[in-house]
Amino acid sequence: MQRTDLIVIGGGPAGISAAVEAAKQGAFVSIIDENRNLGGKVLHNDEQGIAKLPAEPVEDKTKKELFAELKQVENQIDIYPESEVWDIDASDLKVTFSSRGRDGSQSINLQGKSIVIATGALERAIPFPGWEQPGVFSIGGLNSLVKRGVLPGKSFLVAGSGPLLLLLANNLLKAGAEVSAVVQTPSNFALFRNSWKLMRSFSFDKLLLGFKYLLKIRSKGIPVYNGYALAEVKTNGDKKEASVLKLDAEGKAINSSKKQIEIDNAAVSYGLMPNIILTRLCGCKHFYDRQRYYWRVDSDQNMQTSVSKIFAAGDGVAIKGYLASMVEGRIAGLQACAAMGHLDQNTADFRCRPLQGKMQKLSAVGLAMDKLSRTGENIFDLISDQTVICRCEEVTMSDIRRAVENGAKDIEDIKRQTRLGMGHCQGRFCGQVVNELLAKVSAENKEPQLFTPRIPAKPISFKDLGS
Amino acid sequence: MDQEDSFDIFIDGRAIKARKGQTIAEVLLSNSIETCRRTRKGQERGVYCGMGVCHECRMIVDKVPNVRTCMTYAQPGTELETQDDARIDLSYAKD
Repeated sequence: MQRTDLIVIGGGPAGISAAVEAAKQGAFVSIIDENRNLGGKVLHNDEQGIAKLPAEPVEDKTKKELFAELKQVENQIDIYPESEVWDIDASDLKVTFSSRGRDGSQSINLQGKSIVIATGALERAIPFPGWEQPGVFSIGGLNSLVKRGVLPGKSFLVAGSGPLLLLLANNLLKAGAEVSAVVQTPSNFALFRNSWKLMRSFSFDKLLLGFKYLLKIRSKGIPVYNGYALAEVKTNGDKKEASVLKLDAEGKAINSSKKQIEIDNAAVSYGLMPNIILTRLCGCKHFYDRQRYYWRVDSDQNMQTSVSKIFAAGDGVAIKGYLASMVEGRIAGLQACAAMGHLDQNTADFRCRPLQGKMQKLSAVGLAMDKLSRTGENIFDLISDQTVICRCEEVTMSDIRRAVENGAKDIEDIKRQTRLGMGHCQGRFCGQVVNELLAKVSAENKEPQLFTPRIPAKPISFKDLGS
Repeated sequence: MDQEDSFDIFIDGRAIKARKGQTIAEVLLSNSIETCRRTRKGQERGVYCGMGVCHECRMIVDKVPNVRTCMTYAQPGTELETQDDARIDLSYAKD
């Protein structure tokens, strides 16, 4: 068993900020991250020089400042790269993770005096016919590849909802690829209304960036279909054929409006949602946020969860972007120090106050972003009987229908009957939509449920388990 | 591409070029290879989320099955096999 003061899980903008703030108060901090380099998706610190596309200047500046701060306290920070947490004992503050980044592959037990969970976001995936085929990516998945100089094809369709669509289309153009179309489910009216909200929350920079991307896309003559959905992708030899349908005012697809577009690859997702796997494993209280349409951990203004000495920060709490995540990280770092006795509570509270003021302003931005990504439930009508819902166990919509006919009442019944959510990914994607699909076939309106969290939360080999 | 920064890895016995610091998934897609495995029902699957969550990009890497190629870095000489889930499941059953 190794020991430390503060364990920070996730070395993105929130995690690094928490670690830096705690280290400044004299705490010894261990950062555990899945990747080879810290920084997360947006501020990824590409030490190997793999990245091909220049980052936005404002991101680059923030990244340099954050990593310079980290460097100043490096003697108090221990980093475990390429390491994935698969179990947490919240009462003993013990974290177990598989680590490949240092000293070969092994399982490590680390005990701290407090834990900050900053594991960021997952993408919202909504199944549609053909989404499981090779060459159909999630938006974030393709964006990371493109930023790192990998183009899997020549022509791309970008579809779904949320601010990442324009970002990806823009990056594809920068990389010299052809963007066949951008297909967004929100209508012009919905986009305008939520952009107006962004304006009112004084986030002109985010809006300007969006407009800059949109202008670049439009100047190349690329069609941007607002109020449309990608309904199907079929593979024809080396090419793919995408079917795009117009949505009516209720978000229902109009079948007579079909456009066929030939492409090499497609990228689709419907915004972001917090990754709550580890906060759930800790037994923290969660709730379904009806304004943002996702489950999130219940945390107070000090980023304290319902479990003593366990804090959460960043997009893993609610989607807010890297700038607000860094503010939350600092609050979590300071409050964790108070919880560990490195700082007295009054001093921590005093130092957190200006940060909390900043958060109030910034949280409106996150909410507007979530609303920009909102896609109504009628999008699920695109799912056919043969559509794969659980990709790992190859469970289709008709399997779910049959389970309900055989008496399945809730999502655990569906899991037992169909194996949905029991595969390698443990329901990370199908678990997002199973409530909606159950409601669709059973015509009963139930409270949304989550699958019970299970260990190992991430894969571990038997060899490492024994080490 | 800098000669020093590139090396060969192998997929089903065939050599492909990798760039130092790339994940296996990145090497495959740079070489226009999209399929990582076949499911039990015989469907092809490839990289989807690119961040270790969906497990779709699993392959047999240096004889070890079910390795997520998006989370694993290519090393000179890495040997990949397109994974056939039906056969992997059978080999587990034998143990």
